[in-house]
Amino acid sequence: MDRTDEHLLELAAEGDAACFGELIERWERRIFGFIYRYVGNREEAKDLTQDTFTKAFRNLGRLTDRTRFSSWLYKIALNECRMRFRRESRFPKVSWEQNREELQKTTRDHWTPATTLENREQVHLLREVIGLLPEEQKLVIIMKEYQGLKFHEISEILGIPLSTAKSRMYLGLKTIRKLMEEKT
Amino acid sequence: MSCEQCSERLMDVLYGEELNAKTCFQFFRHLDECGDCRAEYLELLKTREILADWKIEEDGSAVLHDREHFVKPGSNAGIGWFSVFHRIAAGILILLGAVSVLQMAGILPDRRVVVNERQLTEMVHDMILARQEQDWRIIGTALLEVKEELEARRRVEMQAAFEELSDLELRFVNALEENNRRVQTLLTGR
Repeated sequence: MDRTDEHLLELAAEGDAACFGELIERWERRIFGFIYRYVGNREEAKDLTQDTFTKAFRNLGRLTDRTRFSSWLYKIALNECRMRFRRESRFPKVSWEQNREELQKTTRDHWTPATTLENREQVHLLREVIGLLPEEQKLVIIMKEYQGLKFHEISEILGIPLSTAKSRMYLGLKTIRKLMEEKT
Repeated sequence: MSCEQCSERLMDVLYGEELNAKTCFQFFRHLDECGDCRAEYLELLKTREILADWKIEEDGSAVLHDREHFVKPGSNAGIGWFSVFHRIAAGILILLGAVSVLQMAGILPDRRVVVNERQLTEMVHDMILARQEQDWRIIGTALLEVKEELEARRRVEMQAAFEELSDLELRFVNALEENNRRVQTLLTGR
């Protein structure tokens, strides 16, 4: 029977490293997916995912409400990304624009034979367009569309009111639509 | 339901959140009646479909390969030997920093030789002079050696010239005597 995150956290906090390993297995792909879509670079996303779990591990004692582990993890991931960009004095938007080769490389492996050329181009365009979104809209889009988080979870992670999360989502979708139309 | 209320609930309907059946029914009834709201809803729905195309797949391997350092959280969470060395190095640096601060504050005696700018200039000046003096001494010695060598060579050359002149003089005297003897022979007829 699968153990809950709270149970695993409790055991991990008592020194059971295997339990933390299980939590990593459970969450690493989701956190990686979030970071990757945000930063736009696979290797950098892997590094940041590693940093996120290292930080989470070291600060397990500070997590008072274990039912909010996922939100806490996303907050750490977001913070790690922001710190990395601050250190390197650049914004994720730039990395998308500068990293067309990465765009080609990372999607190429995941096409199925059924994927049409038109579809591939559309995804390339979509990734470029998401990279051009304002950071606050991009984060909400990634969290909602690709991480499947609820609006109240997004508002908690980003520290914004629920209505703001929804309006950013709305604006983000409208901007994507507009940019896609402009570029096609 | 008005267009404004429809707009407020748009995100909730689009993502199926926090809506009861009654509100949902009212929302879609409004869409049937309002072309603008329907167009906007369909547009957002279409955008969502486009967004759904972007999938990230891993090759089956774990994203994180380096999990060895996730051991025993709590007292020694994630601290290996390497980390212990880091801590020792950091401790030494902090200690050195504290000693420096205390020395600057005059609490600890400072063993360093304090030299002001003028003294430093004088020291550098003295060093340059000493170096110059040494250079001049080397140059002087070299010149003397050259001079002595030239004089010795000159003496040898002068001696050779003197010997050559002496030889010439001797030959001249001999030739002169020979000449006188022949002249006398001619005059006397012998």
